[in-house]
Amino acid sequence: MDAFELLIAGLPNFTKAYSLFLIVAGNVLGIIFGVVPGLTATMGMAIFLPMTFAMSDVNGMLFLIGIFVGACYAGSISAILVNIPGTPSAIATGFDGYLMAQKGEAGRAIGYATLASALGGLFGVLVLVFAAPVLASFALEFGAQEYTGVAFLGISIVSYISFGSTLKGLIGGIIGLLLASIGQDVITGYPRFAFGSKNLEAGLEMIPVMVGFFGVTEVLAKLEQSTEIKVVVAKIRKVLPSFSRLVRMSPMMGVSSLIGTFIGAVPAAGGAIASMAAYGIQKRFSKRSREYGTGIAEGVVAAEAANNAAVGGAFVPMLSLGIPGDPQTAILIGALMINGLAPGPMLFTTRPDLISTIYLGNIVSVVVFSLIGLAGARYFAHLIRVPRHFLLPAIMIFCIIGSFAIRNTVFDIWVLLACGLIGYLLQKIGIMPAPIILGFVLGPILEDNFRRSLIVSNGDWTTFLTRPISLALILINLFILFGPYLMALAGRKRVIG
Amino acid sequence: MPSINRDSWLTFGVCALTGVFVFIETLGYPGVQGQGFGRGPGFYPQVLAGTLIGLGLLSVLQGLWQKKRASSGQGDRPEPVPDLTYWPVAALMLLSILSIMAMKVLGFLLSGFFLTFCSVILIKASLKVRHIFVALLYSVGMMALVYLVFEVFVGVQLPGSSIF
Repeated sequence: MDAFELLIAGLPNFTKAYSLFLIVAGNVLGIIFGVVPGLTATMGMAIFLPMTFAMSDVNGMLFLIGIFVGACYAGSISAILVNIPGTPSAIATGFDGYLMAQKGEAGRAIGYATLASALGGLFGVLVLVFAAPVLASFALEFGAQEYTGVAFLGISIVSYISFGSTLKGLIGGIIGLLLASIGQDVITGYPRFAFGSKNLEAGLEMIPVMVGFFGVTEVLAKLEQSTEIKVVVAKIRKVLPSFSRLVRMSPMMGVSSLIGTFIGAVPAAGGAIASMAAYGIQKRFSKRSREYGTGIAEGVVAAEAANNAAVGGAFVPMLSLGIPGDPQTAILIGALMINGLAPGPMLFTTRPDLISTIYLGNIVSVVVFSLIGLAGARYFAHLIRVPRHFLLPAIMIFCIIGSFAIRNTVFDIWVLLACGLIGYLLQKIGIMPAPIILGFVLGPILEDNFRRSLIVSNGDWTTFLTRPISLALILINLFILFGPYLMALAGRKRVIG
Repeated sequence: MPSINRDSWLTFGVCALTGVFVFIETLGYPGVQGQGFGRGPGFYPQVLAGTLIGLGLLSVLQGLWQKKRASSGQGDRPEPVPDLTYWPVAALMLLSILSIMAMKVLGFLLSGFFLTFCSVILIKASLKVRHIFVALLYSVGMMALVYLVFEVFVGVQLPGSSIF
């Protein structure tokens, strides 16, 4: 099946009104989670994941993709209106967007952000359509040793990029791997860390752990801030930007989209880094370089095209290797696993309709958020003012229900609270939730492949070094983890010399 | 820079305690259980525990190095500490624990109402009649929404009460 056939294989799913309704509903929820500062795409997806239990795998994916894509776009609205990015990926949008709003051009800034997001999003999907099958067919050659290296690559990259230090990120990743090892051993079936509890013997469910680390941790962190930030929302007037100016900006949108897609495809890099990098590069090479940061539309376009293109990029490792590109795709992998599907290269042959649905779901979501954004930005802007004494209890209640719903057991609510508290305490010493969750998601893949590699080789550890791709992956991992330290050390020695 | 030092020691403490706990727990696990089983169920957690302890030690070394740099004037300036209060965090955790414990008796809707109402009052930090009334209305509305969305639409059977 070629790339185009794969793209259209899921078209029949889009003829059903219910599926289209779920994409729109997902987008609206995503925009709400993106607009309100403090709520994130990850949190929204984690909280609403249990709602997908009542849906087919295809509909569940469409709903979650709607939330993901909608939130990614909507972070720009609050960044422009109040200079508080709704999501981390909108930080760079605020550099110029907020200043445009201060000049009375809030509507224009949102218009540019919406159209740049749409173009970036479509570009990302286009790359996904062509790159993912190629990478997937390459990944079919992978054995257990290679998958061990790829799984560890996800953890080492998220450690390197995560907020704080690489070391703390790596510690978080290992904690996640340990949490994933609770329950029956994948090979012998022996119950590990169960302490006689039947619930622990079955292992920790993904949803309570994810919602605990992303949702409850965030609620607790927000609670400790003693004052609520008072926001003054700028007025929104004309939203549609001038067509000729938009055409003039299209090359830079293309470049930003390319940067965004590439960075998004790097496991764990994500939209925040993509938008900052694209903004920086455009500023460096633009003829209006000095005007960046003073409130020009180019700044908004550079950041927004990149962070939405990163969404398509993040799907590349998820679909082709089964490795999450960021916390959001980790949740999507969780959703696939709940439906008994193993994400990875085999999905292209076993479920081409689902792969196509993911492609098309992204495209339809881009259209939906563009329409909602252009028509309803002024209404969504009011959400920024929702006081936290209404917001935080609502999130807590949704976290509890979400955790309960997976197995209808109160034990999972205790797991949720425990993970939330552990996440909150670990955050205090700089160990952030994202690497822990990535470790937790990658845990079974890593353990299974790591131990199978050793079993096949009769316990010979050099098995990881004798296969070329595995060796290359080990070297990449080592470079990511130790390269920056070694380079810093070498630089220091040169200075001393 | 006492904060850097304290964080490093705390990180080491977390790593060491977790690592030692995992080692002690997995020592009692059976070893090799036959051909094709590798090194038994304790092997992989032990590898992770060892790595964790090693990373904890590295964290102490990193803390010492940063402290040395800071004392020689090369380090980063400490960021200003934001104004934080911890009692609402403890109170919300306590409220959550109480409402989960009460769930078996009261059912989800009543215990959820209790949690929502108390949380709104706790975060608003006000006992004015108007605020209490708003919190009541909000909590009732929230439970109605939860019932409609999850029980009616999604089909999740929320925990029922054992007395009503």
